[in-house]
Amino acid sequence: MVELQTTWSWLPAIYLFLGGLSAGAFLTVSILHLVKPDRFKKTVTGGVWTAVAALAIGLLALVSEVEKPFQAMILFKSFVNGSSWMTIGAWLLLVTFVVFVLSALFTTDKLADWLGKVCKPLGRARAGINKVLAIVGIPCSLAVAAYTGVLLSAAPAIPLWGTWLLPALFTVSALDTGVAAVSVFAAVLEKDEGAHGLRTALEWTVLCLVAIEAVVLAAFLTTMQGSGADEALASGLLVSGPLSMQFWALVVAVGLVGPFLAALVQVATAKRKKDAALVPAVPVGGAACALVGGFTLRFLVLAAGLHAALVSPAALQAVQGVLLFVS
Amino acid sequence: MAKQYGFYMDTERCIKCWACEVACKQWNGIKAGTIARRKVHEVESGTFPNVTRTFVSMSCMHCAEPACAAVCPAGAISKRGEDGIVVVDKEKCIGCHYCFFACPFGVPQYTDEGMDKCDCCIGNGVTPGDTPHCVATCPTKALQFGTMEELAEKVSGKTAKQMGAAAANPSVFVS
Repeated sequence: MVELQTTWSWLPAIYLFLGGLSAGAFLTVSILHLVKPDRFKKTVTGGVWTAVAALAIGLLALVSEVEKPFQAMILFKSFVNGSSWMTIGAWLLLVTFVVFVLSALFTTDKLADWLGKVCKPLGRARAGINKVLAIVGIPCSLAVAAYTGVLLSAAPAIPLWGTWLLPALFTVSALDTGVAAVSVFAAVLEKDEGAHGLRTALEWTVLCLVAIEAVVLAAFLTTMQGSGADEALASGLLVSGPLSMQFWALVVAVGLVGPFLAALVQVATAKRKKDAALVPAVPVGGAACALVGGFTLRFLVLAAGLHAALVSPAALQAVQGVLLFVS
Repeated sequence: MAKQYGFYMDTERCIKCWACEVACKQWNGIKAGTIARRKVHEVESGTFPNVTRTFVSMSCMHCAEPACAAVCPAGAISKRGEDGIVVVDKEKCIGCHYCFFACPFGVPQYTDEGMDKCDCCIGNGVTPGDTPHCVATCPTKALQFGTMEELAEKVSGKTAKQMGAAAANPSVFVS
């Protein structure tokens, strides 16, 4: 039997998931804020703080994975190695985290009022600052969401990760989980008169994103099955190997079908009866499914990332290649 | 081009005695039960009754274009200009394991101090370009060391081949 990849295990998977969740949540509430300023306060505030908390925990997971966390701060001394995606990503994450935290401070009424009192110009410029942070935050979020996949796809020795479809998959999944997190706030806390419209809009977004994610996931797996023996072996672990149970049950059934059905039920109810109030259990349940699916996807893609040289059970596959040529 | 040192592995001479592995661990002070910078692999081919076993001793290949150095976020891995030996600065290494995912041969291993791999023994006092301990100890001269030009001359009469890997260009011959 093939051994699964364990050099990067739980902690990087947690970061890949939370980084994506954070980016998706921030992107969602930023768009909401730009489209409807001064509305849906509770959803926007909840979403922004979710983004900050998720990114903070994700970064902690990332830093505790490395063997020398304090030495890791060398990354911020300068651009140590510009050709490394991890160096670029470290700076991207730092900038994005600052934007998220500032946005959280200026979005939360109590904190923003206090800041306005301490420094008058800040209080007057609050609406403008929020808008700028939302606009700056959108490209940052997209970059953070994509970076989780780029980090993996830039590792040349892992056949399963070597495709642009992986960043695409992680980005869609990031948006999916982000919208799910925001829809929890919209379903539970939002008292705004337009809340019903907001919920329906979010559910439509979930429907679209789940459909796109399913297509990208299918494209990723079929591409891998067709592109070489190593790639086929690694993706086979997910589809029919030792990881297939988790893959089909948690990623596909819970992570894709679950949120899709929950969103479908809500959209259908909203159409039939205006202002029909479904129990929050449906949207919250759908969101929980999406989050479980999102995390499992990251974990499984990491676990199935077999090293090309170790795929061959006898010895270094490269050596075998040479010997075949020689003999 | 500046000098490039490398290894030549003659599989016809190797008897799988592991002397190279042991010498490497001893001279580099590697604790028992942890990592091994050099490993002897066994490759089986053919089916019964025509089975062949081939032994190959492998370590870092000191590639012309090391993929590990390209991805290292801390700039801890570098290729020395004067002899082409790829070295890791453990003071700088943060232990992120990213180089393992970049190296085509899965060479980087990790201890508490960071990434650990072959440095052609220059870390334990061998003058760069002098024979590393694994080669010096090999009883059958299956493992040899030298500049790529010298090695190319040695293998000229044999069906040898330089190790291949996408774009990395490893400095190792196998025959």
